[in-house]
Amino acid sequence: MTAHGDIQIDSDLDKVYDTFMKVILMELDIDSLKEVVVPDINGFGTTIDERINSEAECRLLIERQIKESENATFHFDRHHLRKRLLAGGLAAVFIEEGEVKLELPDGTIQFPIRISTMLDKIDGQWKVVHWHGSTPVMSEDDTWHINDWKKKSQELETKVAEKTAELAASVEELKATQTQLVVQEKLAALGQLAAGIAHEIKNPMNFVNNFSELSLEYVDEILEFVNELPQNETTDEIKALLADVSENLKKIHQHGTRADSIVKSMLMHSRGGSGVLEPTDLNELIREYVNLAFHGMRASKNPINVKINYDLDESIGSVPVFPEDFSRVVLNLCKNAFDAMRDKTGVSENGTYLPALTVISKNKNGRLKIVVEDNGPGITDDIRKRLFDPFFTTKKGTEGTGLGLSITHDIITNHKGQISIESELDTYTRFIIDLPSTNQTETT
Amino acid sequence: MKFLIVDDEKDVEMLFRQKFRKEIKSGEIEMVFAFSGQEALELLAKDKPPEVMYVFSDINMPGMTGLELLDQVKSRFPTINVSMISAYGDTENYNRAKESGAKEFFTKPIDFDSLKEEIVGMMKLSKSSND
Repeated sequence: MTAHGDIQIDSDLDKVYDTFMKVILMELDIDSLKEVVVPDINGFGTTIDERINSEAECRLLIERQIKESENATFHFDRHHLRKRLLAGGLAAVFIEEGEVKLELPDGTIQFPIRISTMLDKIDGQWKVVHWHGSTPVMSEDDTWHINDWKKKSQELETKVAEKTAELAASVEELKATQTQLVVQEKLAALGQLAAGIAHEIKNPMNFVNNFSELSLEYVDEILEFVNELPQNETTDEIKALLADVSENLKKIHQHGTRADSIVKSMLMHSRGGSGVLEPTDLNELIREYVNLAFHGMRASKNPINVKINYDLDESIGSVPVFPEDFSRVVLNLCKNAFDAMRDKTGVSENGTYLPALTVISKNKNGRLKIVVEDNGPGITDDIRKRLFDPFFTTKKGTEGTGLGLSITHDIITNHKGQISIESELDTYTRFIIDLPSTNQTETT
Repeated sequence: MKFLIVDDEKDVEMLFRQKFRKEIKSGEIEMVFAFSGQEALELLAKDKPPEVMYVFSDINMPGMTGLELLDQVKSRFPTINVSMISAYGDTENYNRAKESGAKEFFTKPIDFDSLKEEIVGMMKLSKSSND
């Protein structure tokens, strides 16, 4: 063999090897494959399914690789090439290490790769007969991959723990939502029950009121007749008794009227969803009804002096609400605040207490916030929990029906909103209404 | 002048008779009562032409409702006035009654003053048309 021949052989070998590598690295056209490999080429890729036993399979593998690298930028950084001629120059082995880098739209994959390639000189032509590609496990001093296995299971355990924590959090959230729903359901059921009872009671109550009123008129007429008689002890006695009967009838009528107003409040519960959503200037409605509540209170038996502060966000503008219902909410909250502050003026000793009502509206991130705050006695947590329950009242005797806030709660729920309470004893009570600014409530 | 009151609550009769005791006693008005829509129609059909000039009917009654009675009276006795008296003061009932030709719509509890006004007004109207 001449020196010249050796060089010829070597450059031919390098060319074949280089073509093969470029084909499998997708730098050269796949059709070049058949020129550089034997038909029964055998090879192992880096994944378990990559076992090649023919040129056709090798082709399929490369085609799959091309498909998988669509939308990705593929880099192969080749380095550390070693070559060794065997069998007196009739066989050769190439050993190569490199770094694969795949840039995908959502991240980059990078791993080292080791490739050994065996070539045979058949009929004076170098052909690849076998290759083996492998990716090392990312672990050192770990021949049997024990550390790697431990690391992986630890990673898995961490992931499981993370997921478990996430799940636990969702379960907690679901439970809280469920509690909220149960409360709402309970309130709605009680409301319906109340409305049902109210309808049944309304008619008999009307009779009680009407007949007592009528009897009162009759007593007056009887008195007129008695006055026409010659007056004596008996007529005096009759007149005294009739006066008592008249008082009793007034009481019947008065309490009947009270029951009737309770019944009317109860019926408000069943009105849910009636009426039409109307674009309403919410600030205007607030001002109007706060004012109305204030004057109603001033005209009542126990007026108090109250300073009213407004902080209204004029960017709110027109909001679709059920105006009749919503004005009731404003009235209820103001009335409540006035009653609470009146209680405080009763116990405040030196008269330094100045009742103040603050009404705030705010437009933020597509939500509306309406706050009605008084500087009254505040409420305890115990009371706060029950405040929206129907028939729950802290007002003494005949003053409260215990329905105002429960109706308020219903109305706000109907507006797809929420109402919450913040309070500090002896400092303030704050009702906060949260509403979507573009109300999507369906009318029924 | 004869009025017919229709309500399934029997105590309504006693209430009306006492409320209009003077007018009834003086003979200015006459009141008859029916406790169902069916009974009311039978009563109206008894005299030809019917003596009753004005019907006040409850809406919510078992069997024929007040609104059904209203339709029947309006088609069979078009000269008779009909007003509704209902515990349900909702717009739906109100509109339905007005569309069917109800003269007035009273809500319960009945405001007897406005009811009396309506009756007195009706009597004046019939007197002036008779004169």
